[in-house]
Amino acid sequence: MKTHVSAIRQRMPSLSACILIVIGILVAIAAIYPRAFTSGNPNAIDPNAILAGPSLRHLLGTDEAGADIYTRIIYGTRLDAEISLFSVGIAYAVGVPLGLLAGWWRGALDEILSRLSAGILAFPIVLLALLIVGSFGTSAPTLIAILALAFLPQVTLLARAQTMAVCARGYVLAARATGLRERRIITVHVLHNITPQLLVLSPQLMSQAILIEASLSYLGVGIQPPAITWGSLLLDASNYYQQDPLYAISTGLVVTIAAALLLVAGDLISRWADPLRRR
Amino acid sequence: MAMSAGLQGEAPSDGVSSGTASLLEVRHLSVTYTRRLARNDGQTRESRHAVRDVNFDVPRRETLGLVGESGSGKTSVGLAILNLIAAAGSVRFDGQEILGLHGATMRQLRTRMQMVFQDPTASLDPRMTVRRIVRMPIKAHRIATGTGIDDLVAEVLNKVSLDTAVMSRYPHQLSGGQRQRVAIARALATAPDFIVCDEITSSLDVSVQAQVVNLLMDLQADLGLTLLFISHNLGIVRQVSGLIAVMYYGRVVELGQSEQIYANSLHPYTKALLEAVPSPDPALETRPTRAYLRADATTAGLHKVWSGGCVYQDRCPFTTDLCRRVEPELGASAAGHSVACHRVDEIRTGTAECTEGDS
Amino acid sequence: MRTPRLRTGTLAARLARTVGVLVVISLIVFLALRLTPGDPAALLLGPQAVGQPGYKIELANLHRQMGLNYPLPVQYLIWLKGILSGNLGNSNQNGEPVIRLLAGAAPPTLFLIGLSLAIAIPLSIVIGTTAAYRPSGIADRFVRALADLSLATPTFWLGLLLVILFAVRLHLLPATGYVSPLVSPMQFARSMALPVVTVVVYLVGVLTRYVYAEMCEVGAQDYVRTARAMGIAEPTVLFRYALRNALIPLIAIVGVQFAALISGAIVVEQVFGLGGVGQLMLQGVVLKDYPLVQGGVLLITILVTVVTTLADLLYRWVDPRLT
Ligand SMILES: Nc1ncnc2c1ncn2[C@@H]1O[C@H](COP(=O)(O)OP(=O)(O)OP(=O)(O)O)[C@@H](O)[C@H]1O
Ligand SMILES: [Mg+2]
Repeated sequence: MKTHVSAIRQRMPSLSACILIVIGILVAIAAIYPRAFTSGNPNAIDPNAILAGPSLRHLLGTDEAGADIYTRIIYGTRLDAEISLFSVGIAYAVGVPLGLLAGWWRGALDEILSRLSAGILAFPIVLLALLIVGSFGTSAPTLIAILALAFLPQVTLLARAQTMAVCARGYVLAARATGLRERRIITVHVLHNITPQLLVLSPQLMSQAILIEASLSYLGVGIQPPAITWGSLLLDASNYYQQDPLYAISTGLVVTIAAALLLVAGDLISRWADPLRRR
Repeated sequence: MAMSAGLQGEAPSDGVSSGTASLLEVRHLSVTYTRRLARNDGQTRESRHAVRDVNFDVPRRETLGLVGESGSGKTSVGLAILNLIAAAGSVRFDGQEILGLHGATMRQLRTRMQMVFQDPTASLDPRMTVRRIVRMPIKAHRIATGTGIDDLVAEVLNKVSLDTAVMSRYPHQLSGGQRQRVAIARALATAPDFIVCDEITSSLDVSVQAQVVNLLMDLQADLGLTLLFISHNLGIVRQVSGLIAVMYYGRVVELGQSEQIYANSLHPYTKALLEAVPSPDPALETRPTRAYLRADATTAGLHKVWSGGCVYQDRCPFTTDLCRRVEPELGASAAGHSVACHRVDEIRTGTAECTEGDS
Repeated sequence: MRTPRLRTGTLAARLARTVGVLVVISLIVFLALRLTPGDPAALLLGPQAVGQPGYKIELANLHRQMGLNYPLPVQYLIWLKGILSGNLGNSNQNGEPVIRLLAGAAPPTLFLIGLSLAIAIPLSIVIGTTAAYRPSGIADRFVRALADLSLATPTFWLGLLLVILFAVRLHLLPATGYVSPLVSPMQFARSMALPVVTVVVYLVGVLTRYVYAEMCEVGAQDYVRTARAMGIAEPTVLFRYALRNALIPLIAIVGVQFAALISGAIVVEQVFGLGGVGQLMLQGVVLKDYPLVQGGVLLITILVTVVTTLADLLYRWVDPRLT
């Protein structure tokens, strides 16, 4: 029974994990129902307060049109969450099966996928974005597609490498010896054992998605107004940094904190995944 | 690893030919590994034999002990017999050719032939409970359904003397001996006729070794199992096996009844192996020891590519020119005892002269 | 134990692989070009030409001229042939060869990348080694937290903060603009200071992690332990014994990170108005100058592939275990 207790404790989230989960829930609420955090309208303008500093009425001040920055940040959460979730989700949905098959069967499929991945990885992401935006214009689906394409090789290569490592383990051979079908071995043994390692990458990619979204917005090839993203706010702020440096600082901090929290989440997941792998 | 390449599965033999004396007949079995030399580099490959032209039979309800030092190809023989790696030659199980079988036919056959692997820590999925591990083969072959599955799990765990309390544990929460028992239980779950036991004791404590060996022998007697017992420990092999095959560098160099091999070993390599074992029999302890291993012998010979002649030539004290040129075949030297050595007669009569020193 | 035969085999394999990657890159760029919605010929003639007499014939002629009447694979081969003979096409705006435009815009970008690497590599080695000096000490935690933070900070925002502090508040350095070193070395240094610091912070964040991990691993190895046991001073152990081995993977990491470095440089040069390759490409996107964008992306990506391959070969050459 003792081992039970320790096993459960091992799986219990630590304090920092709890804090992160709470933050994650708050961010999810902000994304789904922004009114929970602000009663304002992100597009309501106050002509009397243009680029005004923080006040009780406007917690983080107002932008160049007199709209409340805090409200806009809250309303920007949804698109950033969507972009990071969908881009990483698509990269996983496509990359994990591809990597699994390449690592399991090797051969020609593996060769082609490796070449393709290396080819995509050679594109500096900003240039890849310019190339695609140049052809297809800017929109949220295009941005998601760009990010998914950029993340795809990383996910595929990780899934492939982990699959190959797991296939070299004795239990895969043992499963074959007991007479399991290949399909069952892949889903029951391989997928199950590579999942923790795959999970570690996902928050890192989501943080990258947020940062890249910001960079592309800043370059003017991100999602266009009137849609609100943190990146578009940063672009806005960067145009007025002389008059209102606080605007630039606060919006940049939001992006940095979000990206940093995701990195911390990645670290926590890797620590959770590690002891089991060592066994 | 791919299944045995190319060949279409032969039509399954009609009816089980229980009349044959041996359950397993291995003929001209060879295993060649193709190793990629450089990491991430598909171009440079090197292939070498891990097993070359190996022949033996395992009679029903008997145990063949396969001994030899590390790297001699024992595991490769075991895997090839179970059609788990690509191999050439012929393996007949209960009269049916195994090599080249695949798909449902092979899977079906796997219920009858199982394997316990060298390293239980590696061969048990760390993310599965013992219950789940043992359930896998039962469900894969639909041996039981519903609550019958758990009853069967409990039954096989009971057979290997494991408390059913371990069912909900993970492999890392078990001791080495318990883990090996779980591996044996998994092999027993499909009620097989034949089990390859690959060094099942080598990762265990000496005290636990005896328990596991006794358990295995009891199981064999109770269930009428046929075993291929792989080990490098001659002491344990002697306890378990009626027949012994000695392997060196991918070849079987001596094969016979266990008593004959222990009392009257003929191949210089077998003699060297036996001398390394502290004998449990004091009568034998007094026998004069003699060097059957050249003073300059190393294991280097195991890693070079075989280039003709006797595989043991580099380490043998009796090597002659003939040994370097012609490979000796496994030939009967007495009833049920065969040796692959050109100088077996001289060795038997004790007149073999050492050739150590000449090059 | 490296035989020359094996080495050339490895080399040939690596190069064959690189060619495969280059083919993939060219395919991606080509497809982006051809999958673009809209007819390039119609675009060239402009919307005002639609419906005018002879428009259809003109369009068809232009199609033939541009090779658009061939099937896609043939178009690809023709396009590839042009590229291989060094012709990346001409800009839509003024008909200048894309390659000349890129060469003109390259200096600020190359200076930014080169100077940042020259500073970031030694810096990250010192920081990573110091952190590994006593793993899980205060310095260690601090350094790792900072490295994480630098990875989470948008580079252009960091540049903006530096501008706010050093240019707007302190008036120490210019906020934007690039001065060629041929014109004034002093002005060049002043104009590059903030951009380089920005990229260095990002690079150090990336590289320190690897140096740190490598140093911890090397530090636990037997020969380093032996050196320690012999009473050799700890800094000497780290820098003399462990560092040499930790340096090797850094080569590979720089190769792998090169694409990301270019992305960072493009954004940062935009913040500081350096007018480099990034600005040129952005203009191309805004003005719908497809030949410029596609030619530029292709050239830079090929450059990245070459650098990655060189770093990989160097890595293998330095570390015999990998051959
Ligand atoms: N997957 C593989 N790829 C390449 N070579 C292999 C592979 N597996 C085994 N070998 C080589 O084949 C030879 C025989 O290996 P095998 O594992 O059958 O020996 P063994 O007698 O079981 O040794 P041990 O007692 O150490 O388990 C060895 O030289 C080994 O290096
Ligand atoms: Mg073995």
